[in-house]
Amino acid sequence: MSAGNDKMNRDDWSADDQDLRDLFETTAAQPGAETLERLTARAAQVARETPVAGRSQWQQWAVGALIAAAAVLALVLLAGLPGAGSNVGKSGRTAGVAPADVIQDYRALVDAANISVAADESAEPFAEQFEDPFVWDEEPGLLDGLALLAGPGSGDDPEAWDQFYDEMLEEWDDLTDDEQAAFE
Amino acid sequence: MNEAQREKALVDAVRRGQGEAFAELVRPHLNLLYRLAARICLDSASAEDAVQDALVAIYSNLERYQPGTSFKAFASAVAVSKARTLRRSELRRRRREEQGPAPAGVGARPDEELAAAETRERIRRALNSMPEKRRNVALLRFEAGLSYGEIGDSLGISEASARVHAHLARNELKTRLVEGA
Repeated sequence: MSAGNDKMNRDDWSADDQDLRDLFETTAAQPGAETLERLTARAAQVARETPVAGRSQWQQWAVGALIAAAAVLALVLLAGLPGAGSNVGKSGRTAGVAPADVIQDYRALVDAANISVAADESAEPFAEQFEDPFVWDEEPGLLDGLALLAGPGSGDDPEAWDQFYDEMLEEWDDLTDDEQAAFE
Repeated sequence: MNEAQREKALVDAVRRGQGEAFAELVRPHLNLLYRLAARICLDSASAEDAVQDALVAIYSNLERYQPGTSFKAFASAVAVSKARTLRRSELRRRRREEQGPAPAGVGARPDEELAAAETRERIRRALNSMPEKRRNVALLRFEAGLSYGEIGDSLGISEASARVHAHLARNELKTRLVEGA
């Protein structure tokens, strides 16, 4: 899709989406003609002066080999860690555990203890520290619990958390309405 | 030749080393790239700088663009990222120099309609208070008008994740805009 053909997939657009889209349109900061001229000139200058980036084929292969070697090493190290067979306490991806299994673990724990993780004060620092990414419709619950049980751990690489959020949210989306309701 | 075919031809030309095709490729998107940067940056000069940084990054990383996907989405994601980086460095610099509060934002001129300027500023504050991924999705959705699939492709996340982040951003924006009304 280009600016010259700004036709959106309307099937994707709810009325709320469209309202916000319209509001953004009416409040956008429009560049002046001189700004656009400068930017166009800059684009031409970039093309003249910037070397085309890009690794050569052999460089791509070398990087790929290094990544593969690092992945193998990480798997070997993880396999030797105590408790490597448990789903709890590690990221699903890092531990080689499917996120769906983590969700099942969480369900079993909550059922057994008959508790709401949302009421567990220990969940609060996680929600605060990670900008409430596990809050679903502003109601703490399932995802806070998953963070405690299966997240990469406090202070870990933010990218690992991002990956973890994505996996969990995808898993959540894949559940049926009944399955989602079972967690609430 | 339709727009997608024209875009593909230009990308191919740039990749073959015909640098002059790059300006033709990005020209239709410059307005949008500026708008995206202006939602994040502290002033119009910074927004322009961010777009300039984005142009260098787009050109340098054109190999990462997947033909057949939306170039608009690819370029928009780069612009949002560059604007965010520039804003962070600007804020650090301002703190160091202790210049006081940040300016009111891009486009807020005395002669501008007050209500529109206030709404723009509320949107900017709401966006900048969001976690990074949520903000990026919101900008690509509501400013750039991308589909969830395009947003997912350009940010390297799944379409489902894009939907979730957009859902959270939508609620947050609505709440903040109603509160500020």
